[in-house]
Amino acid sequence: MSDNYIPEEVVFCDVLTRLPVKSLLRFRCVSKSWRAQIDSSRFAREHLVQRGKISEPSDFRIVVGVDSRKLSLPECKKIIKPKRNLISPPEHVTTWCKRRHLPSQGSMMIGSCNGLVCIRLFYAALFEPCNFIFYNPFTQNHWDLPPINKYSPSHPQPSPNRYGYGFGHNSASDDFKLVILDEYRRYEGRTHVQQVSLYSLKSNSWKEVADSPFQGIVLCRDQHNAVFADNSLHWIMRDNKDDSIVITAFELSTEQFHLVPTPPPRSGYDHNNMTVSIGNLGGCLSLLYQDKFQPDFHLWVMKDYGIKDSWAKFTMELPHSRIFPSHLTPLGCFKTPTTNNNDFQQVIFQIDNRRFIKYDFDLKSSMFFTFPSVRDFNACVCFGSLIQPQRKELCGKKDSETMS
Amino acid sequence: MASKGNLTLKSCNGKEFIVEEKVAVMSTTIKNMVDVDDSFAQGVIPIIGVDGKILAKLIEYCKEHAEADEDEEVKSEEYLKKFDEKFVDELNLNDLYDLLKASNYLEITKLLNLLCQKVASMIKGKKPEEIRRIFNIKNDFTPEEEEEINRQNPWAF
Repeated sequence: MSDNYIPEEVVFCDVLTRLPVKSLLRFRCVSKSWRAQIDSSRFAREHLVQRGKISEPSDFRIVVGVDSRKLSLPECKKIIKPKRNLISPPEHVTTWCKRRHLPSQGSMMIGSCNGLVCIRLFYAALFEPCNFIFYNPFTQNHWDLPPINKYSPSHPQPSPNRYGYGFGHNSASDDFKLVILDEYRRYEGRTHVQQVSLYSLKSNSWKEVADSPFQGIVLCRDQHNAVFADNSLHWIMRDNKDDSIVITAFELSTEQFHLVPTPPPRSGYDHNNMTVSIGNLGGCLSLLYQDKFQPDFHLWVMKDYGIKDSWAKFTMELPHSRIFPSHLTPLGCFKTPTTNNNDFQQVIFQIDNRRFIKYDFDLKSSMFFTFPSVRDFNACVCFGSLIQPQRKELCGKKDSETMS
Repeated sequence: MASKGNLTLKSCNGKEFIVEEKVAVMSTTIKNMVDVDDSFAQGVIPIIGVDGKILAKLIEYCKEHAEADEDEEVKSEEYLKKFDEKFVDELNLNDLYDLLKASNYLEITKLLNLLCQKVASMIKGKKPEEIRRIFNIKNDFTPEEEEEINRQNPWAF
């Protein structure tokens, strides 16, 4: 009784877009028309929009990068095996390096956005900051970025004192972008210069854009990766004048810098004792204040972007004795259909470079987990999408082929 | 004959339902009919391809939601959420499909979203062959092609 089946257009537009990536990759072999639908870039975009409304605990990966210069070979082999939701992309790193006859020395996560991760690869014997890939940890496709000319041996340049990196998606042009800040200290005037290089996936090329106008504001140590939110990349920086914490943002469509208001500092607050980390929790910029001498954590979330008064404080009952004095970084959060309104239910933090903690705001419980035997890693949380880390014309071509 | 502010809906097997206009126009299709042609507002609106049992279900859903849209105090978000959950849980598979098709045809977006979410959670963990059976799809891959797809993402199977 074929009458009793749901029309195909309803299945494709309204049902499949609600499924996690894992189910969709499995359903590619249902039939040729299902495969064509799931593989099309239009479906990937619709799926991203629909799934963006919820972020289920089952549909994420923590992608881990390890600087293998610090690891022994057996340790390297261990991280290749995916464990639960933790994965490391060493296969791609290795093939990438093999093609170039280079020994791989590990990887660092720059950030994640719309289901893609930007990874910086280390390998010996070349200028370091120019080796990046965009990677979808679910479909396991990746895209190699071309090197930046400015770092090539034919254009010698003094090395910057610090680097900042940021990965995001410009919704206005539907384009993934990577930004590199080169920070140079100019001791004569005690000023700093931040030069900006910008890669666009659409044009597959690098360009230079105007320097940051905030010359007295500098990158912090160990805070080189930006957090993407509201079409802008955000770095934690310090104001040279008084050492206060500043959030510097780079808007991806205007390519302009601006400052974002920070939440009110805690009482009795001392710049020297405070560490700050930044994250994106459910699309909102978030900041975690920690005091070296105080065993409590102040997690702030900016509910309306750019509005100082919209910073909301969340209290967490963490087992301090197991964390203190480590540094926590918010990596990501889960919303489930049962979560009230726009608040999140669970947040994953990275503890220093060696552990993770999942904190449940409803149950007020914490769960610790780690990567077995790897003691020094960096990580980012990536939610499942079918977005291809490829240039649009290539995706477009594939679409028209499958349509015919 | 419906009194003012009410509409009469007629199912394909001849059952008539008198409903308030605000309930009926939760369906964009009905709203367009009433807006374009005034005679529908006076007479009987035939709902093609939807039988009395399904139409009664649709009206039950629209009634709850139309009242909630009008007065948030009376029916909170929480209440509607519970109502929605119970509503889909009590459906058998045939009714679920029929309701889904009817809400698609009548463009009752809220209900369509609810039912599609139900179908999605129902099929999420299923195997490809079960999906083919559920949606009556013919497998047009050769065994070799199917194996190749399995190889591309073995973790998903």
